[in-house]
Amino acid sequence: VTHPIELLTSYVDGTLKPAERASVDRHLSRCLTCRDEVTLATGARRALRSMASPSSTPADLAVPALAAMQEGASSRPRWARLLPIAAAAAVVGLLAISIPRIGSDGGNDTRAAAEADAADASADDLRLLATDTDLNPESLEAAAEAYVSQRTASQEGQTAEAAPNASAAASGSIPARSLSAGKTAQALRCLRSAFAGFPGQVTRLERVTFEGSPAYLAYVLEGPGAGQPADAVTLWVASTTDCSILSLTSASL
Amino acid sequence: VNAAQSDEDLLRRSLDGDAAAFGLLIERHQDRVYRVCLRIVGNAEDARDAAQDAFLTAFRKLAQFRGDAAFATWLHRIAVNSCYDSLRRKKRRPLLHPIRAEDEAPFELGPPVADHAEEVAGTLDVGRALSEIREDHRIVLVLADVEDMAYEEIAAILDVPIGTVKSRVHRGRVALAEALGIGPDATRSRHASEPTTGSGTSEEAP
Repeated sequence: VTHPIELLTSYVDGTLKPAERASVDRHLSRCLTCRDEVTLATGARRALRSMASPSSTPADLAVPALAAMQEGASSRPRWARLLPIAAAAAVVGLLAISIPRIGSDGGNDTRAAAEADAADASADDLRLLATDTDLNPESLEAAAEAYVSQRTASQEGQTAEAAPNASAAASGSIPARSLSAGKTAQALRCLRSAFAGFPGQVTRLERVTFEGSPAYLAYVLEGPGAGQPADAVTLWVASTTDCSILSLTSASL
Repeated sequence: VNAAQSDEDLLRRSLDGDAAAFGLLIERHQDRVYRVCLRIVGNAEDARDAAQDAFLTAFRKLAQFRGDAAFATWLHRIAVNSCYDSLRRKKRRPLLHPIRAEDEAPFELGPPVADHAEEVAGTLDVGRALSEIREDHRIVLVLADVEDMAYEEIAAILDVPIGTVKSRVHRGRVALAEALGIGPDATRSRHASEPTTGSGTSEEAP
């Protein structure tokens, strides 16, 4: 005997035609399992329908989307032009340089902005990680070195997969959970405004503290361009409160 | 605000860079998206994140929206995926990390209104029971019984056949009733889970 599961759904909903309803009634008269289930399902349906609505919807649900729309539409073209400068600066080794923020006038191409924004976030792969790591200039350098040796090891096949976050490994603290895409996008926006160019490919993004202040830390792979593989990693640190530059270090791969 | 403007009009204007139009589009759908997320992920903080992510993803994919489904259907598909994402990330969260107070307070509903105290208490129970059943069951119940969406629309949102939606609804309701501790003897055998053809066990003669 086959139990008419899909019909039972409509039976409980009260949406069956009389003939269908009669045939389900006939089945129920012989099938204790289905009879029990109809009782249970009817009770559950009633309970679900009487659920109270949440008292309010948060006011800021649109914020990350609208910010991505506005920011992406306004600054992209000039931003792209500064890439070579910032890349050169990163390769030289540089510390605590300050590049002025880029103005925000320009084109208004939302399609391009949406696509560029999506590319920035590397689709779903890149997530901001919340860590309890506290960094200072020395441990930042150590984190860069740790990243390089970890990457070298994984390329030589010694490690199947890189550890969740190198700075945590460097400082001996525990790795932590990944945050939402909205928070990830917010972090990228902040870093981009702090570091003007913010070139290269972001491979890792962490929320840390830097000498006690809440900060974003991005690991950015940079190469000579022209399709050449990355030859350096730069760690960028910006304050989460005002997106100002806190520190920067880089290491050769 | 011109209520006569269709989602499609606002969508077109959004693609032309009209942030106000996109804001309006979000405003139009955000209450339901948030409610759905709240019932699926089970707490206000994660629901807010999931809904924000859904709108951000919708923005990024706006140019890919083909109009072969209603915008609301497309948006809810993104929202459900965003909730799945949130649930997955939560599972991966290392146990070493201290559990924050907000993680222990599921189904926040805001301050209860005195007149509705009983309803709110009932909602807390149902909310907890929802969090105890399978995710695929929970999602169809939220869409079908809490939000009262048609099975056709749910099938479109989840991209599964309508028969699958109906059988998940039934099995979900039974599982929820058991999680709530209502109904007849819970120890009796139930129909096996999907696929939908029943096993024929526990048939009883009249």
